[in-house]
Amino acid sequence: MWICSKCKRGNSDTVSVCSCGAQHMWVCATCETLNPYTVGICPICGARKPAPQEQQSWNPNMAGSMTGTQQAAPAPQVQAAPAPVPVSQSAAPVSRTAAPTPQAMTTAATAAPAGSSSELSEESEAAMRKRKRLRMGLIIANVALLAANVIGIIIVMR
Amino acid sequence: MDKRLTVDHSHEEKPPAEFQPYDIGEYTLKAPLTSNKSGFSKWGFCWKGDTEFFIKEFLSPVYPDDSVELSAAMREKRIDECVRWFDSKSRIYNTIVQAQTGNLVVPISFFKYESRFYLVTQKVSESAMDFAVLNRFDMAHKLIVMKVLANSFARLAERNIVHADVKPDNLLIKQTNGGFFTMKIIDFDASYLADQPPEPDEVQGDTVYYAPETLLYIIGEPAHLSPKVDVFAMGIIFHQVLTGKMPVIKDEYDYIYEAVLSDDPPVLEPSLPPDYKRLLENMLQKDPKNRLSMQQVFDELVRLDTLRQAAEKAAPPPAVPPVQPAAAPAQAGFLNATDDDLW
Ligand SMILES: [Zn+2]
Ligand SMILES: [Zn+2]
Repeated sequence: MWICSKCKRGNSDTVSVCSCGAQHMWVCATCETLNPYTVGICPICGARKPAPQEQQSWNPNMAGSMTGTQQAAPAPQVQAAPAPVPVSQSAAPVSRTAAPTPQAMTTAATAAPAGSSSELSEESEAAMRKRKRLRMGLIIANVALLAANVIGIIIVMR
Repeated sequence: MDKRLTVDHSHEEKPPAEFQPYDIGEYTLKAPLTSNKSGFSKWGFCWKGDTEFFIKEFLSPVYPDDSVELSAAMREKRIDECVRWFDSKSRIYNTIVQAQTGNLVVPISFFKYESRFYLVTQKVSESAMDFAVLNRFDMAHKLIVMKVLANSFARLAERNIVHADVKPDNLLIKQTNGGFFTMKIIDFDASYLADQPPEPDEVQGDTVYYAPETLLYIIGEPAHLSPKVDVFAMGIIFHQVLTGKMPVIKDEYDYIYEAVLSDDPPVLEPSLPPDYKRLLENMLQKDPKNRLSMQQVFDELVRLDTLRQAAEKAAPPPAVPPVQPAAAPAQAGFLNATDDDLW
């Protein structure tokens, strides 16, 4: 059982993609390959999936930017992103009128990290929430899935 | 209110002492952009909050802003070009993001700011693939390096993406936990979707690693560009990973694709075990139809690694000779392969 980091729904271990489309994966500490949650041994290097409390946080767009090892659960992985948005379709009508502002990345902040709280017995609720908030902040600040980004910016052309 | 500073591109080459930080959208540039080693863009590092990113400013297209004197029709045309270019790049970048394997340095943000277009990615501090370092790896770890690459490129191929600029400079080697190493794949500037290749005169990449069909396509011969272009380049890279050397071609050829197109394929290192030699030969086939796919390459690497592990179990290698003091101590266990251990 894993808790979807995006919609907080519980999912069976036998599925790696939540019904909301978010993928659930773990990152191998040796070769940094993302593996589905259901895969127990990294097919690239043979390393074992770490216990949830040992899994490293993963920032979907930051290849190799794993941070501390004490994160409760992997941050959301590259989401089963929507089909590429043909920018012109959405952008063209807007592009000639929109003000030339920098793109809005906030729309990309859909990926809220969360761990399975049942697996976090050693960590206090409050500490965990704080950590979650921090991580969410980081993700909102730093990471935008391009898909979301493109929808967000809609090529801000005048 | 918009607080950003005006970007004055004519002042970007000032010495750092006089450089005034400015904002590009949500990112702050603290040092000038450079065009060093880059023909199509300027690049540098920028900050957002506490995080440093890599940023690239495309030299073209340039969006016609109000200061540009243009007829309405011309302005409309230029805008259309920008929209089409942005559309096409976005499609590629989106697809790359979806192919993330953990080892692709994917786009984080792609946007227009004032009259220029920018791409932001993670800042990677690792260095380019160094075959002198790789040469000290034992076979188990060379196989991990090759599997990481094959897996990432197989995921790209699955989505029809051709990286199109596979070369050591774009394959960074990164030390991970416990002194292991992995690869990070960067620079999707030359990339295209197989069903939408660039115009022949716009094909980029490094001629040293060109596939034969890339050259045919550029000179206007019938040729189909596909992810197999990357398989060919990776065949050369794998030869370098395994032997530290390029495959050998006759003096009359400048490039490997040339030799292959002349049906005079390169000579692979004779000491390569037959399985590995066959793998490389099948990656370096002239006709992409006869060339392995990246998934097949990955599957073969898995098979070879399984064989290697079984052989190791059956006949454990002699005790590892002591590491020479000169070897990097932190990675000693990893880098202590001798030539005899390699196969
Ligand atoms: Zn979900
Ligand atoms: Zn691994």
